[in-house]
Amino acid sequence: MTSAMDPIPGRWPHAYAPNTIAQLVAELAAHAALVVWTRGVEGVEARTTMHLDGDVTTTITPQCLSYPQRDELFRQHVEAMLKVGALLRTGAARATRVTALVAGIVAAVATATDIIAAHSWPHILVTFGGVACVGMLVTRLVRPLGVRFLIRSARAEIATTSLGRRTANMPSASNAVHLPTSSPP
Amino acid sequence: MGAFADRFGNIVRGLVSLEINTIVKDGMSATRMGAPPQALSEIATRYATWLQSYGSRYDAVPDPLTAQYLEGLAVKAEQVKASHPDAEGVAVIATRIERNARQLTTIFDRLTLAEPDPDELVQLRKIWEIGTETVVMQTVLWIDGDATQRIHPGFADTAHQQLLAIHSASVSMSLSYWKSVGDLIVNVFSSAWEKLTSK
Repeated sequence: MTSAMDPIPGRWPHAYAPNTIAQLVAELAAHAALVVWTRGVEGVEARTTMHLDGDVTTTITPQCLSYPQRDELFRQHVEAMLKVGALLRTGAARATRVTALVAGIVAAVATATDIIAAHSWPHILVTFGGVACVGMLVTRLVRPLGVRFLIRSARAEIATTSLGRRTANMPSASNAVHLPTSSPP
Repeated sequence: MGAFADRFGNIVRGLVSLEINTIVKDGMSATRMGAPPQALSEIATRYATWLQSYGSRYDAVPDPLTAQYLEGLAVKAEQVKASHPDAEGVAVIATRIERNARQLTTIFDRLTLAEPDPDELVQLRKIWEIGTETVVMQTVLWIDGDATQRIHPGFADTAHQQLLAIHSASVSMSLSYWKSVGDLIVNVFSSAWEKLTSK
């Protein structure tokens, strides 16, 4: 399995971005943001952060603007960002299929309730609303546990698969990635 | 109830617009934002240093940081803004410091909990990312389709075309995310409606 921050192979400068939907979800869960960064000669030269609410901040160093290979660096960075965009679209398509399935199950439950109780169509809506409220309540209760689980999974994955390779890819120790070791960020 | 209304307001505001910023700044590293107390201290240090460069008195950032210190920074930012009425760049960043310091004061206690709320973490992260840097390109997209784009005059020439390309890719990425979330919400309701009405 590739790590969340593997460079695009055979290229220089290197762009680092989540490679799979699982890594993308883990990044969002662990850091409340997606980060794409590109390394040049003097370390990180371009960094893009996409926040959970969709806002994006891109930071570029002034050195990078006068860099002889800036075209390649920018191209790499844009490529990595477009790749993340494509992953987001794929993830949404999958999530849409899952929600359609869940909505179908909820509707089936509501219909079954209606048949058993021999109630009217508006009653189905009330039942559906009730089921939805219970669903939201359960989500509210389960969410912290789910987030904790995702954070632990992401950390375990980063620690076991990416840290060694990432450190090996670093030109200098001063620019090493600092992974959170205390409470979740 | 007031706190809930504030938080709900923040979430709604976050969904109705997208803000894409491009910043040029020195000395970037691959360091991620640390735990909230550490990020708060870094923000306070950057703000205090910036305010000092515009004549404000520097008070060392306390360890641990307190909400009162952040409130003090907001007051100092107001004073700097008042004392530099003609310097537009100064007013913009002083206003940003004032607003952000006040916002952080409001959520300070919750941010220092062991597991802070993700919505408040997002706010903290944005404030930490932008710091006191000048935004050279900014695009704001509204849910009704309106879009505002601002470009720093020093970066609007052909020499910075690549920077524009990166900014444009940022806009695309943001829109992809927004569209994905929107599709998901619409789909939840439309699927449920279809299942109910097809009975």
